[in-house]
Amino acid sequence: MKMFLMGAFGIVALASLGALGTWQIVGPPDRSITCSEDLLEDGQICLSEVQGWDNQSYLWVDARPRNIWENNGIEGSILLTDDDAEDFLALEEAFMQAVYREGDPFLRVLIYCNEEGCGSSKAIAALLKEKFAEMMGFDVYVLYGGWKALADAGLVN
Amino acid sequence: MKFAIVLLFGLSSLMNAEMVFKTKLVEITAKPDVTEITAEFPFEVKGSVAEIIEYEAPWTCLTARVEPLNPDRSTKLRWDIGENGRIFGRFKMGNFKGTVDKAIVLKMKGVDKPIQLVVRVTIPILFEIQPSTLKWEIGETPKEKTFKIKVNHNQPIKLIENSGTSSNFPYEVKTIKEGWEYEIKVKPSSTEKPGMGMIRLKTDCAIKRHERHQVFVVVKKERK
Repeated sequence: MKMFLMGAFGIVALASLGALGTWQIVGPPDRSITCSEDLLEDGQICLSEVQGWDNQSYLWVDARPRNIWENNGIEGSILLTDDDAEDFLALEEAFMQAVYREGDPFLRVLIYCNEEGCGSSKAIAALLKEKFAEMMGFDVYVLYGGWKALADAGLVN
Repeated sequence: MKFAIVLLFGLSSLMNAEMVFKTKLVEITAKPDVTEITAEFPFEVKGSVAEIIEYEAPWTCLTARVEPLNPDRSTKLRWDIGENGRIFGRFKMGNFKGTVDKAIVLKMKGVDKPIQLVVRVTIPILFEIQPSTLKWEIGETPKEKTFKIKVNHNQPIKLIENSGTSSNFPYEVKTIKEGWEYEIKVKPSSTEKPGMGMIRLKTDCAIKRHERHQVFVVVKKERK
């Protein structure tokens, strides 16, 4: 039994040393956003695909609260959030002015929130699809990984 | 030997969290005047110990709680096999009408992907306007187009004020049935140049969320 116990602890100790060594050599685990087609829900898109588009073809919409958007929203983005503190009609008006672009509307609207658990971007996407997308002629997408994906790509900080 | 086996199983159990929820989606149809909603997600711990390292409801929640609490009233984060509890969320409903998802996120020890608990709330649209935008392409004949308004409530909602933001989009409000049905007819003066306008509407609805509305009118480039 003593031998068995020593063996068990030996295995655990070796595994731990191996993990520590890997950490030292390779670095901490990669927690960056990995996006692939099979992970996408309906209406979501990977940042890699967006990066292949003409950047004049899309408008970023930030669905987070104003203070966070002001702090680290992507350049050129428009705030459109369901935050209770906001006058939603005023935000909607600002969005329409931006997407309309003097009569030459953007082809695509890309919405991001935070990384996980933010239903806001989906809710905003549904609203834009229902109210404006067809008439204005734009497609609506939710960015997979949200703001974290933008940060991993160095597009925000 | 038994001790060693138990020890090894114990170590491995710390690596996995097995908090099993009856459902991760709660659907609620709320009253039109609702400002807050609550939802509960009961769970049971199966298979191995579960330890919550973080729980949050990103920005849209007043409170997210793990219940029951520890005897000293602190939040119980470590749950043993066979224990039952619930995650409780209280959410502010914001400005939205229609269907919206609110979420609570649980990050568990030893698990990369957080657990998402979603509350899907549907708030009735009492003052329904179709469509939300009228458009004309540049050069198109500036013919009249119509917004149709229908009240979906158990009492009338009257349109009491309206104002337009652009002289290029003169409009007329037509009452079909006071408090229940209206039309707004818009005929642009010209479609030669791009332009956008809004028509703001105010009703006598006592519920703030349904009191004000707006629609858009645009002349834009044709999409090829």
